[in-house]
Amino acid sequence: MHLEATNRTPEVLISDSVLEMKGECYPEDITAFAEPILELLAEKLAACDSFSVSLELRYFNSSSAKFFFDFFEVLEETAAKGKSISIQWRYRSSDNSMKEAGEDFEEDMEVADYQLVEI
Amino acid sequence: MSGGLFKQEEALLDNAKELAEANSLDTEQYLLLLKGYEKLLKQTRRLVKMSDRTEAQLNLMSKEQVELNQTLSGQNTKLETLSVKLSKYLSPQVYESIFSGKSEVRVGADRKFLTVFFSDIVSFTEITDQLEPEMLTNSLNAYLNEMAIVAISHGATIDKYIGDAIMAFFGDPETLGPQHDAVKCVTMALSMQEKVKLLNYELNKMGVTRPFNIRCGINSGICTVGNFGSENRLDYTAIGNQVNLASRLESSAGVGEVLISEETMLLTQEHFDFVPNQEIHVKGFARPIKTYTVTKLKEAKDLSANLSFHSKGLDLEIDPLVLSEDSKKIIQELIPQLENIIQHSTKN
Repeated sequence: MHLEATNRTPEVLISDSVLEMKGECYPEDITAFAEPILELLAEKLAACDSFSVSLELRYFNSSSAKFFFDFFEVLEETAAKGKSISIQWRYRSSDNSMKEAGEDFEEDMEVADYQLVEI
Repeated sequence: MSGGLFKQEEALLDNAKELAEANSLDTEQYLLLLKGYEKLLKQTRRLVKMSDRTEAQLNLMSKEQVELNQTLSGQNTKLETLSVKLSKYLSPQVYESIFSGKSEVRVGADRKFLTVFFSDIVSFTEITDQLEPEMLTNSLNAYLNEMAIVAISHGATIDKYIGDAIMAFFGDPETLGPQHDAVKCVTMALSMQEKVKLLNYELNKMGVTRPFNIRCGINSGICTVGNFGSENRLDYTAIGNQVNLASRLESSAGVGEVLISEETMLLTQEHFDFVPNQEIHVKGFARPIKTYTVTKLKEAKDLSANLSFHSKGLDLEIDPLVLSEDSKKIIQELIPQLENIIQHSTKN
């Protein structure tokens, strides 16, 4: 899956073992944006032994935050089942807001390898 | 927010409700429900935290935006004030051309067909000797101010003031075509002559006993016009033999005379009456130059002259030479309204 970035949604790339997301996230219809991603992610996670995620967001709204909670929950549950899950939360050095958001999500990550990466 | 986003939570609640209604909510189900509630509470707390953080950030950005807008507004006001001051050093056409971005402010020139005008006050050096410095300054400024008003109202590009002399031209940065430009220039020169007569009355009241008389020279031809100088200091002007000829015509003109070249005469002969004058020899021109004195606007062409009236309650400026069809329609529509205004004001 490859979704081009729009002014309201990030670029999304999902392959068999990698998911990348980059840009701003405040879609008009969060379900229409999130559901295909979560469905495909579940499919890929079920089929792989290890999976890498790279997120580089500049802004996301509250609906998107709920989507990310579910997104990270799926990853953490998969890691808890014994699969190798690595997550990079990439943020710009000047962007405290995205750094703090990354730290918030990190609190739920007990098994998955979660790294905050300053860019 | 979409129901789809809370699909898991809704499913959990529906299931719990079903079991509760069936009185079969056992410990395992209760713990599942509790776990779901804990998860939701945790997510809600984080969402609230994130939302507050975003709000704080937006408030900060909004405050910064307000400050930035205030700074920009202040700078704009300063720039506007500065540009108004600067505009006084420039001809309106040049100012408009530069500030609208039509002209590049850089060294460079073009060859253009211009009608060039020179004027000066006859025996001004002698007049200055008789005037106190303050009186000289006031009278010269009053003269230049009145001449500038006439020049600008006719659309001239005022090139420069050289003491009591004025250099102006028509044809750049805006042009109505060589013929219209030339007609406007000659009309302007005649208006200036008339204006000086009125000004002399005012100057006399100020204590200037010797009246100002001006002479004007006009020539039309291809000139080099543009920005001359260095990158740091530019002078927008016109140069070339045709400019020199206009200057020479001015110095050859008699008191109160508008002396023009043959080229300008040919361009304006439908609008003005002339009398041939003496030929002059000008450096750079192999043959003697034929000259003509403008005597007056042709009677038959009075209709094509500018209608210009400015007094209390009246501000009228009509230029038949450039009147568009739309403007003509507007004038026709205005005539009945004008009659009404006259009748109404008479009753009052």
